[in-house]
Amino acid sequence: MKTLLHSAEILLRALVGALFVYAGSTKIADPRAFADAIHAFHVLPVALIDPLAVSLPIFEVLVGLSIVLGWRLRENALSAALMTAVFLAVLIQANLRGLDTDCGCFGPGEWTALRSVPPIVRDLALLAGTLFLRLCRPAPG
Amino acid sequence: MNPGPWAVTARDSRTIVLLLFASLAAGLASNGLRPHPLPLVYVATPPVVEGSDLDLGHFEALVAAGEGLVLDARPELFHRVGHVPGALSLPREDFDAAYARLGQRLEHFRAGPIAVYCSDESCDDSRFVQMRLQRMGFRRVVVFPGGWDAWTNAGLGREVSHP
Repeated sequence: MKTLLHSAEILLRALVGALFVYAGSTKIADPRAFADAIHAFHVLPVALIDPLAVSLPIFEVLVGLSIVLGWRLRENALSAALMTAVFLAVLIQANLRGLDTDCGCFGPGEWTALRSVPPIVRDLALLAGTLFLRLCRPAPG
Repeated sequence: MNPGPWAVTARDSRTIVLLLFASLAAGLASNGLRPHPLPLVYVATPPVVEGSDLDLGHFEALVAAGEGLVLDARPELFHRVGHVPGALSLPREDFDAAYARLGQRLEHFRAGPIAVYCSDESCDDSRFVQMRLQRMGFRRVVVFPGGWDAWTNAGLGREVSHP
């Protein structure tokens, strides 16, 4: 049982971490497209859009790398879970308000394989993965 | 012994805040080093839509963003005397030779956005250049009908070509 849990942790760390690194790096490559994507959701004051557009992708990459490497896994899994929960809330409110906007989750040149899954389903799966990573290790004493 | 909830929360917060600040600092610093950094306050990217014209505000934003190509369709001499910053000369009267000269710089913008201007509302050089480019397969080629007159009347910056 313990070995199974450990294997699941390593697999999920690689998957979830790589996804965050990928999501962050595509946005780092094109911060203007990400700023436009944030703007399209109408949830942030204009003054916060550009600072967020240049810093959030780096945060995603750092959190993703930490998860892959297992550095402060519980804390970084929590960061990833909180980010995913916020993305999910933004997507749901956009759907409820009938905004026809591109998710912007993985930058402009999003992978076709990722595009085939609805963003909300994708984020729910990611949220489950990050929560598992948060809980799979005991809190350090 | 399990740590109390406050100890866990404190450890979580420390890591998250540390990474957040590191990301903000790295994000702002790397943005400053980009050739076309994002401004501190968001300016919407102009919607360059096929078949539409740009007004002065959107044209100015496109020029400021530096991510599109701006073409001056007036005779080359006019471009030399003064043009919109960053604009390349593609005069209607000398289209083929100028097109060949621009070469790769134009090819890079085959998917647009490209904004073309000429002297003022009454000139049609920009429409001619737009049509030629569209026929050659360039996409998202739009006209700024106000042209050089609207640009200079608004007191916006100019660039002069050095021989």
